[in-house]
Amino acid sequence: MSTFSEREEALRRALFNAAESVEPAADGLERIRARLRPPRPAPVAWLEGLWAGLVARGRGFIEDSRRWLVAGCAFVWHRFAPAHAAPGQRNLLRWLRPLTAMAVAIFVVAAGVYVGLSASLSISPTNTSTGSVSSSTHPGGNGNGTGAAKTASPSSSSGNPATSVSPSSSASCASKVPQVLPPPSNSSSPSPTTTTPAPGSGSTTPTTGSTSPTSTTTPATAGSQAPDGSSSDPASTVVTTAASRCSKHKKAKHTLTDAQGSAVPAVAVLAALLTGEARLSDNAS
Amino acid sequence: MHVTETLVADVALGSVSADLDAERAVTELYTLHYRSLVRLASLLLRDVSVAEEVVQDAFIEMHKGWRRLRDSEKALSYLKQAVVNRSRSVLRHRVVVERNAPKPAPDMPSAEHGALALLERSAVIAALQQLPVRQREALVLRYYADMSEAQIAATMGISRGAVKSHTSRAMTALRSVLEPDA
Repeated sequence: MSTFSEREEALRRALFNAAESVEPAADGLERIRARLRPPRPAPVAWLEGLWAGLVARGRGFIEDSRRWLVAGCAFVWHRFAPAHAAPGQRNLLRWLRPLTAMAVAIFVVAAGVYVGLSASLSISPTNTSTGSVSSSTHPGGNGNGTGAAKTASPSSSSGNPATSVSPSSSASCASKVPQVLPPPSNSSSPSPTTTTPAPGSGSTTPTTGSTSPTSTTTPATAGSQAPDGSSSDPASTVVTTAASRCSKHKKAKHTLTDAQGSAVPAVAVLAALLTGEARLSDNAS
Repeated sequence: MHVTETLVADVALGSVSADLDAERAVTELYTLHYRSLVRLASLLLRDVSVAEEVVQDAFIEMHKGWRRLRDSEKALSYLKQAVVNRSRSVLRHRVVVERNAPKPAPDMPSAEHGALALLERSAVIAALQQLPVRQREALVLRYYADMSEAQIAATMGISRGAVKSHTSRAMTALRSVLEPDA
């Protein structure tokens, strides 16, 4: 039987013992302050969330890229690192293999850049404008723009679309030549397939019979008589332009073939050198 | 015009200084009384994390009403009263939830099993948890918080006679639980 004061003391002691075991978290003040701050506007919170998501994803991408880069560098170093010098081996030979590999890599990159640049310059459609065609098919065919004169057969003086393109043109080029309708019957030229000879000239030369300056630069005047008396037939102008494009395409293909033909043997020679060096180092070791 | 601007400036400065005072008061009261308040709430609630939330809510309410209080003593009384009232609300809500929630499987311990076990090690505490809420509050405030009857009455929002009645009945109930043959 306990007295009232003893029961009070026991209750007080039990309460304190129970409370002593309770330990609140240490971040209580931070949580209170965080809840005391005014809430952020919704767009700001949304942007912050978006930025956090992007950072989280970008970190993974950067980590993957770094891993790939490290693996690649380790592979390259393992493959092309200088070998350990043998007792009787010269020190210079240790570096021959990595230097050769580096030279081959630089050469291949340079050749690729050269081929790419030349091909883009040759094939680019912006270079085959009407103006350049006009200069290349100027009467006389001077300069390097003689593609039309080279590809056109002598019989092209007649102005016939079918005969203005040389038979040696490829099928693809031939397919690109547009179908030209014959000019109306009231044209200045008596026939769509014939060219009126120039005054004072008894024969028709291939260069003058192909195009005239007015017919190529100003399509609006197509069909009119040229100053030098040659025909300015629109059909022949279109055909000549297409032929010029085909000749430029062929020229680009020639450039590509030349570049590849000069690059491939050199790469093969360097690869043979590299293989021989690898054999040499293996034999030495 | 000049007087109006001065008044506006004084009001602005007063609000800024009041905010600074509130921040300072929150920091001071947190340093001195946060732990004891959490323990008090945990004795009432039998859950430490909920007790922390209750005390933090009380601090936030005190920060909002700092212009009314403007005194640390008043603020501490306000905090204790807020803790008791919020604990009571939590217990009321918990009773409703437990009444409607499905009973867990016997082999699955409940989520607050650890916190309950921590507090119910003592037979006295276990007997205390079986008391009604008001009687438990009166005992905790009286014997843990060492509050007088007037302070308990003010904190619980009841009269001093009611405090005496609750305390006496609670002690009788504890005695019957702890000394059944008495």
